[in-house]
Amino acid sequence: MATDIYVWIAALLTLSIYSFLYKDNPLYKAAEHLFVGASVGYSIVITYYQAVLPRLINPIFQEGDWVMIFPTLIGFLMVSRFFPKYDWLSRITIAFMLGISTGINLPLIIQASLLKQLQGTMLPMTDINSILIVIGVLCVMIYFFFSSEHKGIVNTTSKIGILFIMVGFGASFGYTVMARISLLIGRLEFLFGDWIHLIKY
Amino acid sequence: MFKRKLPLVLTFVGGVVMIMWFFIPRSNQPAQIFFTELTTRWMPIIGAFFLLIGLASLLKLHYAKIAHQREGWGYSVITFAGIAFMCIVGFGWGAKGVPLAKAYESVFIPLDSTMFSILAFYMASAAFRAFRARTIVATILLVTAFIVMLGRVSFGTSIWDGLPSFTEWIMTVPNMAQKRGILLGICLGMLATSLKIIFGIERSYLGSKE
Amino acid sequence: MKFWEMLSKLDRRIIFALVFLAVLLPLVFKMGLPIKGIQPPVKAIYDHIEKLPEGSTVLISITYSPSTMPELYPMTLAVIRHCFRQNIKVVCVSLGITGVGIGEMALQEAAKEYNKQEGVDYVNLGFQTGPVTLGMGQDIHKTYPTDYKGIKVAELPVMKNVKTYKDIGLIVDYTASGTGYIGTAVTMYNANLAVGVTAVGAADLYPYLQTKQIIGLMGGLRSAAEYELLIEKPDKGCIRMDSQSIAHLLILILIVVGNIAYFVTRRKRT
Repeated sequence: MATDIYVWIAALLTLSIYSFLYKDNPLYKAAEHLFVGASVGYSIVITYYQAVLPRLINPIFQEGDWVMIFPTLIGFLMVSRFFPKYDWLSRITIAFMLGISTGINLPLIIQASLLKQLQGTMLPMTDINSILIVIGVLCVMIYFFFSSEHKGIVNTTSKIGILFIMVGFGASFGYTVMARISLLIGRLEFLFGDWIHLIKY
Repeated sequence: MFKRKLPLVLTFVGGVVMIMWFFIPRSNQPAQIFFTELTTRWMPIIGAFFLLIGLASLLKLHYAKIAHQREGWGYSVITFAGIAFMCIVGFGWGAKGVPLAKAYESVFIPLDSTMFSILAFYMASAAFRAFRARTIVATILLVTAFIVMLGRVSFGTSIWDGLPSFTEWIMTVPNMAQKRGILLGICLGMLATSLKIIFGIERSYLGSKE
Repeated sequence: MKFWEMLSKLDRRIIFALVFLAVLLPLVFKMGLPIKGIQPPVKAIYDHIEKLPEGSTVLISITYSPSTMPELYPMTLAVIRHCFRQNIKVVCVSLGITGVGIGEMALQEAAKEYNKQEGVDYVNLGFQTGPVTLGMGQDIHKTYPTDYKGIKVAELPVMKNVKTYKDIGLIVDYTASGTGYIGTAVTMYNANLAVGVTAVGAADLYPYLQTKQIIGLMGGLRSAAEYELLIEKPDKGCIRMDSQSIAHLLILILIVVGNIAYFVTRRKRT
């Protein structure tokens, strides 16, 4: 059994969360709320030391970089959300960030995802895999095309599309099982290894 | 009028300027300096306010719960205690201090990772109760999941040596085609929404009030 | 018939207990099941790092929180170990606040083993707000004015010749789902990107692998185990694969039994 107090704290918190498997209970709820609090507290500390201090306080007050007052003011308008009479001011900040982010992302989406992915589908139909990829992409897209009724050729292709979709979902399900089990392994390894030393390395 | 028009104009100008920037050659120094300042200095500062407002909203919510002694207000006290604890160890000993690292390892990590590991139990239960080969398409899904699950663990090769390669083929050919088909659809949707935002057709971010 | 009916109404807590045992027992009684074959996308990452010259830099991006650590931490550690073994410098960033501590843990663990010096051979730049994947393409020093411990980045020897993505041999993004580097680092700045992702998100990244927008992919614990074998340092990834295998077997049995129970009881009803 571990003698380290920190291991004990971690183990008791782990068990509190697992108590939910039996049924919902106050211990689980307390741990859940502590989790929210701890994550917010940690975020406050890291944001202050990594973003607020070196980007805001130090440049303005130590280095005299007064230009940084402008983004600070734009950001500060967000505080108006807590004052209903002036909350329209926060729209300026949201609009500024939204406009710029959308403008940056739009050509990137076209280039990184749309054009590159289309290019990857334009394959020489010389082997079975290339043929399957081209057919698969087209049929899946047609399956999600709802602007015309699924009749005739559209119906046939969308039916092929659903087969590809099911293979894809099956693969995703298989991988999801893998992921969830891995997370459980990590916790049991801690409880039975680090805490009660039943697992030996 | 001004309260709604100004944000719309800002969104339009910001969007169009950034699209234009993408087509300006990288050798253009003023354009590069402008973009560097914007992305590395202005946007992070504004972004920090978004983060702080989010945190403040959460604090406000829990404070209201405690002040009005609504059902479960005791749990909100625990949330505040968690925040206070992390802030004390963080600001008291600094970000590089041992107490913050210990709090992270012994409080945050176990809570976060255990919360998600619970899903393994529910997923197993769901697989037993709901994963049925009722139709042909459901059977295809089930068989694929079966192959992938076996193909990625040690038993796979005991059953058939080629199973890992076959699993890799499923991932790189039919699965890839399916994911790409959906990805292209998502991209087109994102493009349409982006254009609607820039041209002021999509304005839900302004809220409903004048 | 009664047996199958009873089985179809099995209490979920019995299934929970079975899952618990399927994961725990292989951890206690080690089975050492073989891990045969290396997936080509995992090997591609290994080969890329092998070809990087000594003294070059790899950017490790932690885009996950502790919730997915059991899957992603072993592969994070394996790649950092590989870099240190090859005398490659490691710059670590975290795109999420709660990932900062993970990067620190992995760097410290690997640095001790390979006797590497903080600030000279590696650095944890930590977290920053704003569009960091874009900002790093323009100027890493401006995007991260200080490291995780508050030291000015310009003063760190490890960062002396690392200004933008051009100075980085490979970006390895560890993420719980998608990656933000494809649209920015790869498309705008032609950076080399590899992704380590939870198994949940792995299937979605294959389209980018085929277009070579990502040079390699590690999906889930299995990939972590394979990478550990490639660098000849089997660790948590390999150990955990026993439990993973038995748990998969249990889930497959549950699906089969569940289906038999369903069809048998359905026939009876009709």
